[in-house]
Amino acid sequence: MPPFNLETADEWLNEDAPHADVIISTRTRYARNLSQYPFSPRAKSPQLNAVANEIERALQQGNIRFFPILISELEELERQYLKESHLISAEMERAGEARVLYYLSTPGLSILVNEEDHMRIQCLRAGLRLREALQSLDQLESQLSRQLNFAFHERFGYLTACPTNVGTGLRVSVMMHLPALVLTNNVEEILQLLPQYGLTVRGFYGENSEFLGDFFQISNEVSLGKSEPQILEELERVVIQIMDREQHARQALFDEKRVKIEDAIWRAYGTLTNSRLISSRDALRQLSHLRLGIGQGIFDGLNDQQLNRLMIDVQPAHLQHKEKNPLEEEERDCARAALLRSRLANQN
Amino acid sequence: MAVFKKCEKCGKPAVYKSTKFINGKPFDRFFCEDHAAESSSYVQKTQESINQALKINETLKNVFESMGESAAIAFPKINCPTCGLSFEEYKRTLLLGCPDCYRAFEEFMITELRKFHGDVQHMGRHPEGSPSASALEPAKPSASAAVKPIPEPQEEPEEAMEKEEVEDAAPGIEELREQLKEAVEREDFARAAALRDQIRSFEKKRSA
Repeated sequence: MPPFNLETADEWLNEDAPHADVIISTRTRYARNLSQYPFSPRAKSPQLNAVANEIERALQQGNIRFFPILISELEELERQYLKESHLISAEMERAGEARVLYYLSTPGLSILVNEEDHMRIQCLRAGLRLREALQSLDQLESQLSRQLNFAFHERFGYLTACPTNVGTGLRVSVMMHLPALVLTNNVEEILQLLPQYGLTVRGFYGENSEFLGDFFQISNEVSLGKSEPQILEELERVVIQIMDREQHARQALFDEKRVKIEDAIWRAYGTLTNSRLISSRDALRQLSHLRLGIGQGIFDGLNDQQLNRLMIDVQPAHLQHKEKNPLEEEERDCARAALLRSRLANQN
Repeated sequence: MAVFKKCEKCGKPAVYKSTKFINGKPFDRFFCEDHAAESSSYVQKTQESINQALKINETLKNVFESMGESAAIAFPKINCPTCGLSFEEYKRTLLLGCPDCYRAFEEFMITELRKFHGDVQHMGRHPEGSPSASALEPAKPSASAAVKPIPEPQEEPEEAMEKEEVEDAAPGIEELREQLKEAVEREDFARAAALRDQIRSFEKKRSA
């Protein structure tokens, strides 16, 4: 397995993305804890290290190829980079003792060690790939379960530090791009219905993060009392319905307000190709409109995949990594504008 | 992880979360009991919408509400014998200290989990080779077709005959199963665990 470098974190952006017009990514994760240690937030340094060692040994014994990344040894910008790539959580970005990211060779798979739980086994894939993402997770979990003694209760299921994750320990999330539902003021009504289905909406970087550029992460809230396939299917049904609504809204906008929608898309293009200073928030908003143009065949300078990558590449840590220099805010806005101009100019 | 937000007016722990949509984008606002109850029209609206699940997380509201009640009632004074975490501390952070906390606080956790998940019986995967995997499967029929029923052991005719002999020699395994089912139904897990062990030893004999 080739050594991990930061760019590796964005490999998932290269794969084909089913339903790419509406869906950016699928993420699944299992929370698991070793039965003989306190949960990570309460564990002391030797225990945290012992947990990490046991997990690493289990990976070795299971013949699972991995690359370990010790989070506390990373620079702040490198940690931020991994968060922007959606590979680690905002919680993990705050480096703590014995926090490790194990990056595996199977597409999308990685393990976060000593975040809130001892292990968060996760799979991140492009587009809508719920079943594949759960299947990879199941395989890895089974392999690890042969080597490790997971904390389990006959009634409560897999035990987790926070009881909101107990049971299956499963969270399934789909990042959706819903610009037409936002433009037609329908998104509110739809997202309000989610709790009825045991689902919730989260921001661009997961729990407690903000909403950016018409991107909404839909995930299950209930993890106990339903089997893993049931959680997945219930979420999938709702995601497909929202996807249909978005596509209908796009069609309606296109049929009834074509000039208006074209105007929004080309204005976004204008801003992105002419700005000399642009914030990441503004860039995401404009890229969101441009993405709508791709989906509707109005703008063909980039495909969905290239646009997804651009959305990640304009994030602060990605920009600074590319420039190989820490940059002040205004310098970043300037570098971001230059990057957008060059990427979009090359395409026309 | 659930993060405890503060009331945007006074900084006390928030009891209500309201999601306001500005230009179609949701923004969360947080209020304590007092300020949520104050009669500003916005909060009034929020209160109404709470009932219609505008609040993204209905279950958390329940927890916060029960925290409000418990402030008067006081939390049960128990500590986890393994890690020492008090139930009160759990309620403050919503984080347990170690896997044993679930047993130490079991009767309270049942209420907690019902609030979060609406259900308290795990229906999913079990650790490989987990002894309790099938013995403590819920007695109620599965709510979803997606949940696999526990397969009855498929046995060769010869083994089946042996089984009959064992069962003849040990009448009551079915009765034990029945008792187990009842124990699970009335949530008597200590009894259920004992019955499970008895059944297991019967089955061991049978397959030996």
